[in-house]
Amino acid sequence: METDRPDSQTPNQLRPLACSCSCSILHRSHGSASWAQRETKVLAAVYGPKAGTKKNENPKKASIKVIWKPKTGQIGKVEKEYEMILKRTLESICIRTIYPNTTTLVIVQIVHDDGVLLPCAINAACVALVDARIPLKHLVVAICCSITDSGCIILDPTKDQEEKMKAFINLVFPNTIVSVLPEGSLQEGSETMAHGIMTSITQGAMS
Amino acid sequence: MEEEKEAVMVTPGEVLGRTSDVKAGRGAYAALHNNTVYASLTGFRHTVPPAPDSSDLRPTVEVTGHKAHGPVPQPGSVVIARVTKVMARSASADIMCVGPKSVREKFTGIIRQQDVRATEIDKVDMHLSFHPGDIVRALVLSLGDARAYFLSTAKNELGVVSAESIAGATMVPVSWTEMQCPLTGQIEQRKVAKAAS
Repeated sequence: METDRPDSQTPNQLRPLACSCSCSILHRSHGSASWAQRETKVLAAVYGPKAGTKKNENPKKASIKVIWKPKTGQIGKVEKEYEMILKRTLESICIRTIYPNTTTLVIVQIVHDDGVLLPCAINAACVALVDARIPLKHLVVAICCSITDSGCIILDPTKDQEEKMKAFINLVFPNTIVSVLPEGSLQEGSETMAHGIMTSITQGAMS
Repeated sequence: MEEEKEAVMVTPGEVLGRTSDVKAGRGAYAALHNNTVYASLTGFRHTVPPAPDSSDLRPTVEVTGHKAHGPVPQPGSVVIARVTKVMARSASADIMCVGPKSVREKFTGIIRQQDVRATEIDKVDMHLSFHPGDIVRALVLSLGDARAYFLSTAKNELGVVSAESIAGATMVPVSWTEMQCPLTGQIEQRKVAKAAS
């Protein structure tokens, strides 16, 4: 099932990535990264670990605080939801027992939004954590798929395409050997496989 | 067993070996559910051979990165701190160094009255043990509360290592409870750290 896409992209093709990870992006942060997928660009900065945790956090584990900064204006419900999703995703990849009673601050600044914003932010935050040398269980990669009215699945849609779609889903995978299908074998060679999808956010009618 | 000559670049989540073959060192962690050692940092993989007198013959695998991570105080680590406030039952201090490395974030510590010295802990006068501005060597007891780490100076080698007199000169230790100003000769009370021989 063919679908017209800009730049003669096929439905299962990602837009070109332009990922730069360097301390020189932001001099005063402990780790920073810029992640761009064509026109969508996100800047992530990591500060910490800093002393102390909030009252409702477990002091025996490290805490992660995420601040989402939109390109313009104040943060709303959607941004608050993105903050929570990002916080939970990052907490699941960080080894939080190494630096207990500390808080790591992750600030995500949106430079430009042309679709797949949340996956772009997750990828940027992961690279920034690596740059800040925060101990991680594994790396993550986030992607976005969308479903057209005709039932065609498109990978990595643009902002215009996102608005026309019936539904879309954001998926986050770890870089370990994974089995996405539950009935799949949980052994590959000598390494035990893990169930693959870490975070899944759906919007719209998937059926 | 020699240390690996050629360092291999690894990223978090990459398998470094089995727990039966290697031990997890810095920048690595052992997953107990599948007995596998994984990298937790991005950097170069190094295998350190076991000590000759060690009973565990497994080499230690560690990941050393391109830039140093700022140290974080942990229970059992010896820190250098600057006293900021002295109260009747405790003294507050800002941790400046963890071991030989300086911290990149501000960590606050509290020295409680019962943790100043090992003997006669109920007779300790905090104002005769520390003054604001003193540099102390202390041991991290625990994480404490959300605001500060609990520190202890209850060992001979722990306590005030550097202090300024009222005249502004750096004082010289006279005994384990006294320091003397070299300019005025005035003696001030402190919980002095024993100098390393």
